[in-house]
Parts: sequence; C-alpha cells; structure tokens
Amino acid sequence: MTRLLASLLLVAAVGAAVIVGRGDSEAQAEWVLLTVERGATSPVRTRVVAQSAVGEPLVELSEGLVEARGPSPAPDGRRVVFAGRQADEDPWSLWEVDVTGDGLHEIATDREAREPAYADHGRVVYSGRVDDGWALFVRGPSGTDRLTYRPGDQRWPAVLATGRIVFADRGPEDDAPRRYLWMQQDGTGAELLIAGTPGTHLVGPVREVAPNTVRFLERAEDGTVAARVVDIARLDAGQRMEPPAAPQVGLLAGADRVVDAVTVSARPVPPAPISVVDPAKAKGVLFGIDAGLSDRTPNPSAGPAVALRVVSTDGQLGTLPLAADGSYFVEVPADRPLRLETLDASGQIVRGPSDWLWVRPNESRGCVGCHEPRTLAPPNRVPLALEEGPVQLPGGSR
Amino acid sequence: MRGVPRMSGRAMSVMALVGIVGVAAGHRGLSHHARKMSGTEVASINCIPCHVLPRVSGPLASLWNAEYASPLRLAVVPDGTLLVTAEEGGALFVVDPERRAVLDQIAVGGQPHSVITDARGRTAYVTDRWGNRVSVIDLATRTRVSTIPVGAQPGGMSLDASERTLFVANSGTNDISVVDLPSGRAVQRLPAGSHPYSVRGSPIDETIVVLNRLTSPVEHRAPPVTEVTLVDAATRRVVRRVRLDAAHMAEGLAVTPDGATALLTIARPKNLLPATQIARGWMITYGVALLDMTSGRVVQLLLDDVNQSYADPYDVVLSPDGRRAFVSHAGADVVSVIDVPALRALAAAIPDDSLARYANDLSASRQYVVARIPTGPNPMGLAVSADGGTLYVAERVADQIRMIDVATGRDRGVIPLGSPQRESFVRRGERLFNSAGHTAQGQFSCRSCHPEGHTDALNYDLEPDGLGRNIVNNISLRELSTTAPYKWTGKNVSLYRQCGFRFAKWLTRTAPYSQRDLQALVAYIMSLEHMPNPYATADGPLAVAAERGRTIFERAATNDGRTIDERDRCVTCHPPPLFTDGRMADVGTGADTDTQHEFDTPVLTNLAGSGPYLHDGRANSLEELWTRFNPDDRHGVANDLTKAQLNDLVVYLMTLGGARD
Repeated sequence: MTRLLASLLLVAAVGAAVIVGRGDSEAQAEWVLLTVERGATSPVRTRVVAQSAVGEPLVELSEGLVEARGPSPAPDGRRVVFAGRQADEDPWSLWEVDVTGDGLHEIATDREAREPAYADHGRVVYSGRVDDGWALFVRGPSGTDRLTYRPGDQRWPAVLATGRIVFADRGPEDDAPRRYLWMQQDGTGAELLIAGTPGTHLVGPVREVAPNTVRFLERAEDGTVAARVVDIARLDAGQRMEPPAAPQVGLLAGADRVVDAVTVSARPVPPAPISVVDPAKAKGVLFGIDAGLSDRTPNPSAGPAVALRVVSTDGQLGTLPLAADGSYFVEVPADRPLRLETLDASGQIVRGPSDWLWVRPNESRGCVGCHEPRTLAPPNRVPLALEEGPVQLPGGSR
Repeated sequence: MRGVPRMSGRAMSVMALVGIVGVAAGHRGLSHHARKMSGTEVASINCIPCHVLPRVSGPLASLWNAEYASPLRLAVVPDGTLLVTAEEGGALFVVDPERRAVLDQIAVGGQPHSVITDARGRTAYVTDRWGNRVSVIDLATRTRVSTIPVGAQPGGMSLDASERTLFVANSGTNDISVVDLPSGRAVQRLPAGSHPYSVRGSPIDETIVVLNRLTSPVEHRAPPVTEVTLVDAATRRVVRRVRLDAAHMAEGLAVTPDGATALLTIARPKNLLPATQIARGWMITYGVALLDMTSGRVVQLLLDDVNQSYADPYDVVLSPDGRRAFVSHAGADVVSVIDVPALRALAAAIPDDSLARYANDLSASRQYVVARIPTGPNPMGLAVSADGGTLYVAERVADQIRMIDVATGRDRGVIPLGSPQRESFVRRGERLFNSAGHTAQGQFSCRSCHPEGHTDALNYDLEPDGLGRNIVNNISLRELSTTAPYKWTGKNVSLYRQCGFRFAKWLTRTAPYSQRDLQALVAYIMSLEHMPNPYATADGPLAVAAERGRTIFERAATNDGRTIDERDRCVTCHPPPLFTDGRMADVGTGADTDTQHEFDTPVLTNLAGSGPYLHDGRANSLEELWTRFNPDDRHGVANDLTKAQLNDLVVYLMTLGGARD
C-alpha cells in the first residue's frame, strides 16, 4: 500500500513537473525550483534546489534538512516556501528561503505541515495534519487559522490569480473519490469545482496555466496518466492532453532525478477579499431558496419534504420546518462539518444527506437548492423563510 | 541689517512655539477632518483629491481636467463612413474607417445619444438627451439643417418604411415621440414602459420595437418586469406590450433580417435575495432575450459563463446574413459572438414550463456563444460595415473606435477620436465606475446599478444589516457632493467611506480600491449632474398648478384652519435648495423588518426619474406617499388634502431641481 501511494505521488509529481515544465509559456522566468529525488539514499529522500537556466549550477535551498519537497514561489519571484524536516524523527514543517539560497528559516506551525503555497501579502496556506485526516490552514502575521472542516483529507492548495484557493478533497471512506474544491482565502464559500472525469482518479494539485484555466492529472483505471485542462469560467469537461517528457535539467548526480519542477516568475499578489469572518462569533447562517430543487432522486417511499435536518459528525443538531416555498434559514455552529437532509412529515429522509459543508464564524451562506445543478443561478425571489429570521438549532451550540 | 528691528530671542522663541502649536493643532484638525470624511485612518492629509480634482468647471479646472468625446452609439452610412455620437463631446463625428481618420465633427450640442440614417445615407438623425431634441443632419454638406423638439432625454430612434415618420424613445418622459419629418414636428406621444431606450424597425413590416430599460412599477418585493413596446408605424399606435419578466437594464436591440425575432440585451438582477455572495450569478446575471415578433413569446438565455460574468451588455448588432450576433459588454471589455441559428434553435426547443430554469442556466452559453473578443475599456455602441466584414466598437472611455474582423475575430486596430491622451483624475474614476473588473468574477460595475450615475429603480437586501431585513431603495448618485450623510441610515459621512472598505467587504467581495482609485472614483461621482428636469420651469414663474402645490408644501394650516405644527410641515424637513435638512427622521415608514425607523431625509430635487420612493422603495409613485403610506400624518400633515391638492403638490415636487440650458 505504501509503495502504491509512493508510486502515485511520484506519478503526480512527475506529471506536475511536466505540466509546469519550461515550455510552459513562462519564457521570462529566471529560476526553476526542482524537487530532486536522491537516488543514492535509502529510503528515497527528496531535496529542493533552484536553477537559473539549464546547465547552470544547482542552488541548494534545503541545505541542512534531511528531506524537503513541494517548493512554491512567492508572487515577488524571490522567496520560496516548501515543506521539509530536519531529522527523520521530526514532523514535516514549512521552510522559507530566498531563491538564491539565502535566509533559510522555518515557519513555525503547530502541526505537521505540507504542500505550502503563498496566498496574499506573505500569508502561506498549507495542508496540516488533524485528528481525522488533513485540513487546510493559513499562516500569517496574525497567527494560524484553520480553513477547512470536512472529514477526510484536504490537500494540495493552489492559490489562483483571482485569490481563490483550489484544493483536493477526499472523504474519509476508503473508496471516496478525490475532487477539487475551491473557496475564498478565509475559508468561506467552499464548494465543488471539478469532480473529475468518470473512470479516472485525480492526482496531485491543480496548476493555473492561464487566467481561469487550470491543469491537473488524471489516472485511468489502467494506470495511464493524462493531463486535463479545464476552463473554470465555463466549467466544461476540458481537454485531455498527453503528458510531455520530463524537463531536462542536467548537472544531477547519477541516480538523482527530478520529480517536480516549478517555474519562478514574478506575478501580481493575489487579491484577497476583506474577510467577513469574525472570530468572536461562534455561528454562521445558512439559507436555501428551495430545498426541493435537486438533481438527486428522492426517496420513493417518502412523502413531500416538509423539514430540514442538520447533522454534524457527532450527531443531529436539530430539525427545522421548511417554509411553504421550500426555503429555510438556520443558524448553525461555525467551523464544524455539517450535512443537510430533507424529511417528510413522518420524519423519513426525502433526500440526503448532503455533501459535507461548513460555514465560518459570521459567514452567511446561500444555496439555490439542495444538491442542485452547479450551473444554476438563483431565481430572483424573496425566500419566505427570511421573513421569520434564522431558526436556532437545539444542538447548535459548540 | 541696519534699519531692520531686531527681534529678541525671547520673542522669537514665543513665535516659534506659537507656530509649532499652530501647525500641530492644524495638522491634528485636518487629520480629524480627513479621518471623519473618509471613514478611514488615512496616513496622509491631502486636500487636493477631495477639494480640487473633482471640480470639472471653473477657470482653473481645465488645468487638471480634459474634455473627452466619449463615443456612445454608431451608424454606418452606405458610402462606408461611420457616424459616431460623442456623448460628452456634444458632436456627431464623421469617420472614415479606411483612412482611420475623423473627417468632421458636427456640433449637435448637449449630450448626443443615438444616430441613424435614412436608407440612402443622405440624412442623419441624432438625439440629444440633454437638449430634448433631434438634430437633422445633411450628410452631403455635413451640417445640421434643423432640430426637432421631442420628449425628455431622447435615446433610440427608428424611421418607418416610408422614411417620413421618425419614432423617438424618450427616456425622461416614458413615451415615444412620433415625428412627422416633412413638417419637422413631433405630432404624437405614445406611452411606453419605464425609461424607453432603444428603438428598431422590423425589416419586413411596419412594426417598431421600443425597448424600455428599467422595470415598470411592480408590487413591493416583487421581481422587476421590463416592457417591450411594439408600435404599428402605419397606425401610430401601440399594438402590444410584452413583459420581460425578472429582467431590466435592457439596452441593446436588434431584429433579425427575417423579421421573426428581436434580440434584446438584458440584466437579470437578484435584488430580492440577500447579497450574501456574488459568485455564480448571485447578484446579477446578463443575457439576451429572444422575442418572437409574431407570438410575443420571450425566451431569456444567459451570456455569462458559470464562473465568469460578462457585465453590462449594452448593444447588439447582427451580421448582414443574420447568422452572427455581437453583444458589447460595457463592464467586461468584451464582445460576445453569438451563433444565432444555435441560439434560436435552443430557444425554440425550450418548453414553456422550463423557461424560468433556462433563464438561470449559466452553462447554456456554451451552446451559442462561439467567441469572446477582448476590447478596450467600456465597449458600448456597435455597428457592422455594409459589407459585413468589419465590426465597429465604440470604446467609450478610451475615446476610440475599434475595428474587428467579423470572420476571424481579429483586431484590426483602432480609430482615435482625437481626445487627449492624458487620463484626467475624474476620467480615471469614470473608467473605474464603468468597469466590472473590480468585483469577484466580474459580476457588476457601479454602472450596473447606477446607469449614468442614476438609479436602476430597484430595492436591495444587503447582508451586513441582516438577511431579509433593512431593504433599501437604490438612489441616484447625481449631485451628491453636498448631500451627506449617505445611506438611508445616514451612517456614512462621505462618499469615500461609502465606496471604500465596507463596499468591498459586503458588495464587490474582492480587495478594496486603492486609495488613489477610490479618490478618482469619488471624484467622478461628485462630478455627476442630473439631466435637465423636464418638469422645471426655467427661471420663470411656476405653472399655476405647481404654484398651488408650492403653497401646500409650505402651508402652516390644514384645509379646515387647524395649525400644522412646524415639525409636521413639508418644508420644515425639506427646505430649499436641496429640500432636505440633512437630518434623520422617523416619519412612520419603518417596516417590521427595519432595524431602525429613522432615516436620512432625502433630497427632493429631480424626483420624477428617481422612483420608486421611500427608504425601501415601497411607494411606486409620489401620490402613494400620502394615499398609502402616511395614514397617521407622521410624514407631514396631508390626509386633509383633496385629490386635486395632492395632484398640485406632486406637480410642484416634480419641478424641483431646476431646468438647465
């Protein structure tokens, strides 16, 4: 199993390297960041180096670390952040360094940290180990904030030019498929972005190759890996592409090989919306325009939906009646995994449970329906449930 | 230094101390003023952006401002020349696209809007929104030969088949002028919807299509309904009124060559939903409506993508064969190219009971939008060359016409209109105002809700004051500079605060404007003026009815002789010149959903075009202020007034704001 995971990671890394290879319309870039596998070590270790041009000397960025990988350049084109550890017994943490190799220092985190990426104004978003898997965190001058609250794993954050964070999500079940979700930099508004192509598995992070265009890797059942390019504005199926050959680097020791390559080029700092999150508050609100609007088949033995039940990982938080137009308005605990299910008059589930979601403190989240088509804009009507104010759930307190 | 009295050391010390204290106190005072007015902790004090640069008139203003043409709408003459209305240049530009040169500028005054020509290209007609007239231009001599007075704020026009009758949409008076061209007189007014804006004649019959821009009056908290008014040119009568449900800001209009379908650009606002998020069309979506000219069936389809809006569709033109439609998105700096047969096929296939769902489907555009062509800033009017090979795009705030190859979508370059290359501070603000680039996913520009700085006549549910609570009517931004505080709750002391941090946090959902952009934006807003009030009397005495209304407005006693407490007289809270005392008042109009019942007393000038009324827009007319929403005389003593007196009062109120030359 471990070998399989390692193989997949390697495939992902090589694929990502191919995706962002030097032919990737980034001719003005000065540096390339490389994750290099040390072929002579056992177990296999990786290190992070930088190279200003093919054939130029390699600059060690992870000097003194026993292992390092996943370098990510800052918008200024100078600083680099990556995950690494000083000793085998150490947890992985975050390290920042100048692309020239100067000033290596650790960015303190309170947990094992991987896959960092720069967000706005020097903040770093990364995957951090939590009790039941992996979640995303952001580290900035004011401290660390957890952004995601779904069971399972949230990994591989990528910050788009628009400032949104795209990340890979997989539920806790063994056969749960990996999907790409996206959210604002404060963890609000998280929703599904790309579910992947049927018959394939998503591998590794997305890379933004043009405004509103991302590439990622898909592994088919037969093990072949292909790249897919998706226009996230149109959100269509995208185009399948053959992965090109691995980048040429030169100057590597005999058994060493590049497993990841990232081009460094200055780019605008991603804009960050002013966060609506208020840490002093413990709740947010959810409202839906019509809980009956769904692309899921209702339970054939159930009657019409008249209520909505809110469930968390540790049980039911409460049930509220749907308004006559199918709308609902409910106050829910913030930063907690939530699921919704509609009930008929006898308490049978009509549809649900929904996918896991969460709201941040003070977030107001609106839904068109319950698992409605993601391409549907809301109808312009006043949800009746709003006239009464939000329902307080008996189990809604922390 | 003989002869110059020498100052003692003590005196110098005292003076220095006084100077230091004075400077410190002045700096402190100015800092306080800057913080108060901007609503932010400004790092530096700079008087110029607020007190100097917004000035657009006066002897020195030309030093920092400039005059721009601002091309708005286009027409192609059969000889290949291009006619361009210069909205801020007060002229009709005659352009030679081959030479990329402006051949002539024909002064038409005011604020030119639309231009059309007769079939042979001998005569052009230009509407002037400021002057309420149509200029008749002899294209051979490039001179204005006459002007024809029409209704207020005329926009689009169309000739009938005989070219003896001109139909003109009057946005300011909500009607259509019927102009008899041989006599040069407007002979009839046909009632339209709200803010009639664009006009096109059918190529196959006598139908004239008039597109109204804003919603007709609807029940409070109901979706907008915008009207398409169909006129029979032969009988000069309105023959059908078609509803565009849930749509407004309908500005662009084209009719297919077979006369079967009218294509209308629309916005579909979500003003009834709390503005908690703006991605995926939660604030506004943009699209086209297909009007079946025979059956009157309307199908609305979006031009947006799932995660990208194309804000402010302004104009639409068709290729000569009718197979391609081009839509300018004034806020997105893009022209969408539409496969018209695909669009019509989809529209025909949608069952009636699925129309509402398709109208909200953000993925539908994949089926008929075949290209997005980038343009310069603020693309508005469009025209296609006579041979169908070139699309002309009026890039309004760039002061140029872009040429695009219709077949390939390639950029063929621009025709500059000779405006200054320098972008003034106010012009920068105007560009920002018209751009949706500063909202998440390009959802809306300032103009989306404030066309030409005015109002879209809708009411909104904003997030920070509670979902489903504190509904607010959207007000005009014109002539705001001396009307602080802002917002109905009066919480914002300045426009800098109004358009700053909280605007970004709760509305645009992206990073706030930079300080310089914010100052430029506010400077532009402060430069906005109302159109001439069509109901005002220039410098002369009021009409008799209005004079009676003024007496009622200022009265101190009821009809039966009871003294009206000074606090309950109209003029007490609404004193001239702006007819507001700038204070908060509870006039009994607070709703159960309002957190506070005191509201900023509104300005009463230029009321006619700024309805609906009251803080939450529940009154569709001025009459309703007293007949429906003032049962206890808390909004001024008025329940003793007769219907005739109320009519007089309304007539008087509509005159407020004055006329302009």
